[in-house]
Amino acid sequence: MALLTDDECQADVVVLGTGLTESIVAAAVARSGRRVLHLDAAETYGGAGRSLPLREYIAWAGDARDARMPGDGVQAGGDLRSLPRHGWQRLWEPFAPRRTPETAEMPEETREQTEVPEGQRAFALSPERTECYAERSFEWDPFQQMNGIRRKKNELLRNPSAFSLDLSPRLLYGRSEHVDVLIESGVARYLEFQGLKFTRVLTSEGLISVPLTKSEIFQDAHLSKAEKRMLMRFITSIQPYVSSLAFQSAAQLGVDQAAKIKGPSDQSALGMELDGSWRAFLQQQNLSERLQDFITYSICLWDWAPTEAFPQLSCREALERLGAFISSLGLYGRGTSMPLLFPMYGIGEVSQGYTRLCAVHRGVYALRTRATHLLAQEEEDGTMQLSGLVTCRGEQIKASRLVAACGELLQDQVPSQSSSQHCRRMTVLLSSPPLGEEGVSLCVVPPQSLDPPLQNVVQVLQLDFSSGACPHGYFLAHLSQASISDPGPLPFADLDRVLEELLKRSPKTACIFRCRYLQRPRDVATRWDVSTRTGGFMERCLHEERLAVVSDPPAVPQLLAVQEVHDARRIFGSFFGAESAFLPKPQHVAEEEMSGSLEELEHFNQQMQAQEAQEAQEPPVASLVQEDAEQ
Amino acid sequence: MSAKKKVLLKVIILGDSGVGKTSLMNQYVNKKFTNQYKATIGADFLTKEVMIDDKLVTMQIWDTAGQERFQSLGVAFYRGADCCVLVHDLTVPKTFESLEVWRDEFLIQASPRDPDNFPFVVLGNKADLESKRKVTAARATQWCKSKNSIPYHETSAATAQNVEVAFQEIARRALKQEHTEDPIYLPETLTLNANQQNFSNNRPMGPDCAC
Ligand SMILES: Cc1cc2nc3c(=O)[nH]c(=O)nc-3n(C[C@H](O)[C@H](O)[C@H](O)COP(=O)(O)OP(=O)(O)OC[C@H]3O[C@@H](n4cnc5c(N)ncnc54)[C@H](O)[C@@H]3O)c2cc1C
Ligand SMILES: Nc1nc2c(ncn2[C@@H]2O[C@H](COP(=O)(O)OP(=O)(O)OP(=O)(O)O)[C@@H](O)[C@H]2O)c(=O)[nH]1
Ligand SMILES: [Mg+2]
Repeated sequence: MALLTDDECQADVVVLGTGLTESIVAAAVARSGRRVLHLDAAETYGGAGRSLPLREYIAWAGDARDARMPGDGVQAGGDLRSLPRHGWQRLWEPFAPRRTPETAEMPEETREQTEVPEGQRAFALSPERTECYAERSFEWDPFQQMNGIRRKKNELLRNPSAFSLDLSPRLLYGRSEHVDVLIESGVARYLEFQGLKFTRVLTSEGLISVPLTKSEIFQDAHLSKAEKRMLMRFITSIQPYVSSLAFQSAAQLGVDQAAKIKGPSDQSALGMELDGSWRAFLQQQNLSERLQDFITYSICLWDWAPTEAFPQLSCREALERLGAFISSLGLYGRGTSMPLLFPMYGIGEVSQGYTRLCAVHRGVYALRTRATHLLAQEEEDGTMQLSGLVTCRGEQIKASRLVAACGELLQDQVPSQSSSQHCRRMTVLLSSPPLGEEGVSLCVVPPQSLDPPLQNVVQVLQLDFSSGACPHGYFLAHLSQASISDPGPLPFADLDRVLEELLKRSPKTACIFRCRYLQRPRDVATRWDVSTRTGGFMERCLHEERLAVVSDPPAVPQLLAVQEVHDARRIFGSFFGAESAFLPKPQHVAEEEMSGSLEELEHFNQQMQAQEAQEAQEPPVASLVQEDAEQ
Repeated sequence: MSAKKKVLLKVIILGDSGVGKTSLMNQYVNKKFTNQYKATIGADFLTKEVMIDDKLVTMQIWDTAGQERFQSLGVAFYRGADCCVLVHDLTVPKTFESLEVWRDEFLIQASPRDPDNFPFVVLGNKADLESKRKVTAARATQWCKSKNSIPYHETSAATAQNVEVAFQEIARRALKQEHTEDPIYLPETLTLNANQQNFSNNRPMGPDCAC
């Protein structure tokens, strides 16, 4: 039974999947005045970058038994669509369970028999939706150290929405393309952030704060005098690339000044080879091993140890990262000088912000709606041209352009392959902050910090209730490690060791649950078999820029959202030309901002008047006292 | 600072498509009504300042932007709501039957700390179409009573009947809720502010804020 009206079945662009990149594209297209139909087979927004409440999270991680409360019907299998939403199913039969095993077994040819208009052809898509997360496991009380875990579990499951757990947690640089787009588009109005409170490095001597400003370096308790000099000298020597001005806070500098601080320009007077190795450059600078690690891992947030098998950090990339970090530093004042922002409730919230913007600009939304076929129109010259798609309810959508998340557009019987780079992830819920202090914060663990050394650097993102990710009194740690080699039998061994090391520091800390999985983005190039009719057709659509496929959230960088806006802009540009305005400020947002400033001005004037009136009446001392009393 | 104290209340309006959610907002805020139905587009949120017991509060009324049509409102939409307005069209019984689902949906998604006492207000809209009425006041009142006594108003976005009264109640209940939520100290969050391309602190007016 069709739900969409005839009018809604006509779109300029259909978007499949509600991950961050797809949602940005959808918003941009709608904002440009074109009709968008945005579908997702799942029941919730966010695609592979979604943020889940506890029960959905556990079901996803594979242990459905643990997600179940007495009397409800959560089913196994990590398919969030199997979770019950009683109300809707009762009132909206068409939305009832979406899994159709029968169709899965039907050969491609049979399913192509779907009725299509004259001159059109249908190409079947795989009914299976696979994900880029593998080897998922979830355990309560993994170290069997807790008394009363049952009670705790029930207590947490009673309010599962107090959790918002990211599958692929992401931070944003305070000054970045993405933040600019959020502000300009108006999506920022829907969002709140927490600033990162601190970054630490776990070394053999314990958790150390990385000094980031001149005075911090001066006062630092861990660095030797020689190291302090080395560090200051280094900062001074990279001035031509990343102005050391930035080491002062941007608030002092003024935003305009800070904005001018850009990444590397040209070849340098210092003779730095931009394509040369950053490690080698740091060695040349006579920095101690420890300082090299600090700069590489905790400031550049580089994901790889200097092992041959791993990608190497070039000076160019390092300076870009240094620039991003430093120009965001201290930008937002107020106790937090750290350059990174965590979106409240996780990155899934950001994609939902974009979907709202899209909806506000006439975008039509239907979750629980899967595309079963692509439709093609035969042109006069005999070629097939993308003309739309068919939904699981049999609605025929007319659209000449399609954007699809990698996992939404799989060809039947063609197993998707993963790229070799992957990220090992572990998320634990703890009873006290693993990084020693409350607040959203980051810790990096260079390989040599532990003995024997780790295979690769480990990053730890600590979250607490201030980020909306977990209830008050609990702490989340997202541990991750990038890798290239075959995961092997014990892919999470390093993450476990780092956790153990952190927990050693506070023996009373209980680990309430542990979830582990591999994030293996699929190889976009081998998604379909081009020798088949369907695969060949999709490949052609891709070349003719009628179809854009969005890759899975990247495994590397593990914790930064840097690619999405860029990808979205590229896709939007490939459809409508680079000169099309990408998410310009909506009129009503501009008006609101204007009235906001006027209001502030008015408020200021009122205060001035009140003060003047008061001064005229009373001696100044008295007025001060009165104000104090009021407070 | 005694001059102006800003309290921001988030109010969301739920109900089936076509019951008059957008019309009610527009009638209340802009004192306008149009008879032509088009599925809502271009609606984000409307703000209105109201005085409640000498207190100036800013009500931010969020329209569903049409995402409710296929039950596709994400959890982000519900977050931080201080009051939830449930609207039905009293000429269409199905829209009244949906209220139960909308209420459940809200409680699941927004998961307020104290679901039993979360403020809802039910509006039976299109009261000007008395001759076509299909949902009696008694039936609506009874349902509201069974849900921990939700206040019920019959409104007309067309004639503005009861609209002001209903939104006064909504604001009052939202304000009360705002005071009871967040008993735990919540660290301030950052919002990206376009005026300064900089951050300002959000929610400066927690219940425990002394200023
Ligand atoms: C909260 C709200 C609810 C509305 N509900 C309805 C409704 O139910 N029925 C109806 O017919 N009209 C409604 N409108 C007005 C409706 O949005 C405009 O009539 C319509 O978008 C105009 O379309 P357009 O193609 O001329 O402009 P567009 O090119 O679509 O709009 C230009 C820009 O202005 C914004 N914009 C448009 N109108 C307004 C407005 N009134 N206030 C603030 N920003 C605006 C749009 O979002 C867009 O960013 C509503 C407006 C708002 C703000
Ligand atoms: N007679 C009468 N008509 C009304 C009243 N309120 C709304 N309408 C009409 O009902 C129709 C739908 O109103 P909307 O405000 O757009 O409804 P909505 O709930 O926002 O609908 P969606 O945005 O599609 O979810 C319009 O044609 C309005 O003119 C009312 O109080 N009386
Ligand atoms: Mg509406």
